[in-house]
Amino acid sequence: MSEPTSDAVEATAEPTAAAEPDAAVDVRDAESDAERDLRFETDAMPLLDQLYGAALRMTRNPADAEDLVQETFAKAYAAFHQYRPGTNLKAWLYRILTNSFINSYRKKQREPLQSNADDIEDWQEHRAASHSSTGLRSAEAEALDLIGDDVVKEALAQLPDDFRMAVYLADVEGFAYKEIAEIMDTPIGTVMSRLHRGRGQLRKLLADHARDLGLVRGA
Amino acid sequence: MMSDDSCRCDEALDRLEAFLDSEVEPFDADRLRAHLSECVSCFGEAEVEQRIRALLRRSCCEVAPETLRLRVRTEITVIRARTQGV
Repeated sequence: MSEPTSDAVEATAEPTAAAEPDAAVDVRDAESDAERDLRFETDAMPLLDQLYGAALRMTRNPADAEDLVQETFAKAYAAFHQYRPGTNLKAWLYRILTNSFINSYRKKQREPLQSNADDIEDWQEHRAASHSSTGLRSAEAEALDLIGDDVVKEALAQLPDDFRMAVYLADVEGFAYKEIAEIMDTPIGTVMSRLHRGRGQLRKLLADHARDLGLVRGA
Repeated sequence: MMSDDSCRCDEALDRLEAFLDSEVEPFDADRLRAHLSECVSCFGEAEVEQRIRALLRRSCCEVAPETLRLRVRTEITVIRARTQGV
């Protein structure tokens, strides 16, 4: 694997911080290489499991997921001097992961799942209506808890990449719309559209599954 | 946007996703919350949405294989050696 350079990390806009760190005090100014290495070990390495989980959902393939995570951490380490301490490290890492996925893996996939152009106006009109048309009646919400992990992951895997990523970032990692927009490098409106459509598709898949299992009364 | 303060079903459903994502301003969030406490149908809708999110969190929890962790550490060591001349 060729050595990643800091150039390879897309010039990341600083991830939005809830509170801007004191501009006069930047840990990076006075720290040694060893101290920065320790900071990476302490702050970034613990996120490996989460990034692996995200990589699995993106690549839908454990071997590719491992490669993606390795590439991500290597790039992150090489560019760690660019990360401003006190800002959102998780978002910064996810940006690298997402970029790496789009640049390295999506092109290689045999059957990349693409979504249609994001029709923002369309979905805003049908927003309220679509919820009632998925067929999963509220009273049967309990049936969802009976659905196994594998089924959920399989359903997620059926979503187009962009929808799946947005749903994962919002629902599993709890990123805000603005953070997701930065991570996926798209406008917030597009994020909301992908979330709405992705969640809608997912809900329908799960409802169909619950119905097939006889967990809910068939429509 | 509403002429009176109370929130009706169409508005609640329209903003439910954003509300559950904590992306609604406090004033409207309070109105929505009040509506959900009074409206069985919208409350049920919110419940389904939340259960699906909980399902995703539960199902997508992964632990990276030790071999991956080792590969990452090894590569970092190599990069360190090259860049720091250690």
